Amino acid sequence: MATQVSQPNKDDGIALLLANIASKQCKRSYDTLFREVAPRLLNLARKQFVDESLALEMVQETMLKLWLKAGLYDASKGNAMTWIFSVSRNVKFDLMRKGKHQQSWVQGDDLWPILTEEEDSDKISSEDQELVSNELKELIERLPEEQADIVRRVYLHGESQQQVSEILNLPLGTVKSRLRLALKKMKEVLDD
Amino acid sequence: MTSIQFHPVEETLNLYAAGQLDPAMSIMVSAHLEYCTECRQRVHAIEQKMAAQLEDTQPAAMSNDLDSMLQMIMQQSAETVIEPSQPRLQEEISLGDKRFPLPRALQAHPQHIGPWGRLPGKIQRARVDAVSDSKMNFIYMDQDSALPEHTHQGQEITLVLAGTFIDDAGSYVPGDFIIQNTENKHTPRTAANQDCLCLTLLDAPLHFTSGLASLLNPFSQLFFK
Ligand SMILES: [Zn+2]
Repeated sequence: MATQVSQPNKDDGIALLLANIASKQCKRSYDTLFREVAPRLLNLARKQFVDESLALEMVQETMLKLWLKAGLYDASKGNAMTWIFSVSRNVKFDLMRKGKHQQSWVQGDDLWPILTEEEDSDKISSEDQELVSNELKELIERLPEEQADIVRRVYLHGESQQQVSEILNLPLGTVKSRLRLALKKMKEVLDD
Repeated sequence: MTSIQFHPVEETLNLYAAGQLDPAMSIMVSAHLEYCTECRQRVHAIEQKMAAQLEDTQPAAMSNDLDSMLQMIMQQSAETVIEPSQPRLQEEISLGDKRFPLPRALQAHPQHIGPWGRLPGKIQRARVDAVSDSKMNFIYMDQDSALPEHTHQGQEITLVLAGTFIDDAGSYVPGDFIIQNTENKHTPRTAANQDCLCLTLLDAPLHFTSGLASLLNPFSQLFFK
């Protein structure tokens, strides 16, 4: 049964189980995942909670989230096990104050919003954003059009280099080298 | 562009990633991470390490407890599990006609952020409800204003959210995570054309050291409660 999660691509195996659970509530995949993760989580939880019932609660809450929210795992943001660890850490954060008269309105999910679909990004005020993009636009105008187009797509519209390569029907290597050239030129202008 | 120079120490990031910082300190670190790619990457690396430790942990036996947990969970579905409704997020904090981005950790809890109140010297303050024993405040310093010189009886953490402030040691930009303790005596101020919004966490009252302001000492409990 555990063949799917054999080394060396163990994490890919876990990611595949999550994908099956997300797409078709696959009970076999969940069974495998549970046997892989829950007993380890329990031993870890026992080190953090003296109270056995709290340790079990941490495992149960975490494993329930994996069952219901497997679809929120995003492979582009990291390993499957790292995501699972993060889910369990959020559960632990909330449980640590339970029953200790330390109830707090701050929840693990406020701090680590891994169960929402929002994007992480650096916070730039809209005013600064405007400044940056105005300056950038001027620089881009000075580039040869074939480079300018790629820079606009990647830096102003947020397309990935892979997407640009597909849309423009150019090899990825070409996209990368045009981008590199363009950035070099823009940097030269800025350094003047 | 000026960049962030002050970061939480490695141990703080470790505890944060493990979920072992108290809620107030966790908010401060989480808000810093929103501004700081470098620390975000470090936290992600720490999480990866901790995930690897989880994988290497000796599994407990598949007991009856775990077996029945497994069966119980697989009977659940999105329909049977009632989740608290997603709170509306408030993404900004406003002061008069100014608006600033609100740290994400606070966005679901605007009701825990008190009203703005004036302090001496063109400073305004909004309390964030007791998230632990320490005191958390938004501090807004208008252009060309200064806080009276003071030392700290405990530790104070200041996170710049917008604008810039200056003290005897240098200037601080959004994202800077500044830790001060009893040895530091400082006079934060803003320049003539620059205001500043900070989030501060204080675990003991301020102690004012200069002239008239030292008269404030008996009231410092009130000043920064
Ligand atoms: Zn940092």
